[in-house]
Amino acid sequence: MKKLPVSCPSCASALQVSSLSCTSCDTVIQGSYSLPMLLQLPQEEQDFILEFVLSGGSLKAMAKKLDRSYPTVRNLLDDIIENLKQLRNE
Amino acid sequence: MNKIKKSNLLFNPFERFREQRLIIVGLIAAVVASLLGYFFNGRFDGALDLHFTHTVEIWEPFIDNLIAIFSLFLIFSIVAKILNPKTRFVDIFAISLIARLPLYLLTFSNFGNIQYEIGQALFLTVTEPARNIPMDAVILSVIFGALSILAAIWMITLLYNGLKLVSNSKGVKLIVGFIFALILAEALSKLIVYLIY
Repeated sequence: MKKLPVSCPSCASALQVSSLSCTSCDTVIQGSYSLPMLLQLPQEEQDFILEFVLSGGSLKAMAKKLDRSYPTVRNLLDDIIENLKQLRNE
Repeated sequence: MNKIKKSNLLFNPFERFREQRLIIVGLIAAVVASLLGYFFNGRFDGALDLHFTHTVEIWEPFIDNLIAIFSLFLIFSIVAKILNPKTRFVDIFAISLIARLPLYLLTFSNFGNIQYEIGQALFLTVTEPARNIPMDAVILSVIFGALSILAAIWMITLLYNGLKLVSNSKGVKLIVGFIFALILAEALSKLIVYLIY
């Protein structure tokens, strides 16, 4: 699966969506759209959030699924929360 | 999930294993180590201590371990809660039990009361300077000293990694908190040992 780039490989600034296209009728929309906050997170953090939601928001279930201890998983979530807070303040 | 590093089982088992498993292993190890303490004349008379003596009563290593684990648990719980109020007591308990494993392994080094005998032989050369220093005792004491340092480093690393993980702390705050916890836990255990015996 191709990874969605979220930061500029040249200057590391956040990237924006400038073009969207319909795969059915080839309509192309040009503009300048910000990426949703969750998509601005690194891929592994997005994967974690997806798994966390699918686990019913249970850290214990996540710990079992990832074969890691509860504090390890809780720290991953805390780091993601910190990243989201930073993105919201930018 | 690239962010989850391959766990370092020797120095940070807390990252990988669930607290129930760690507590069961830690409790079994504490009981076995207490029996080893009895057989090898070892006293765990402090949170970070193991000393060998002439004779040991069977109940003494059990009480020693109880005091040491309680002291580590109490002080590390207070420090971890200050660093991060979300820290769970059960995780601190697991750390207090598992971090003492290197110390337990050291009890084997007094097989046949050799460490105690060496200590006595070297002590006599200090109190009676006319005696020759037994070279074999010096060599063995250097080897045992090196083993003790390795065990101490391993134990302190386990405690540090455990506190870092369960409190999710970093930097100066963590280092200061850890040093404070280590000194206080040792002091508390020594005080309780002093009051009991």
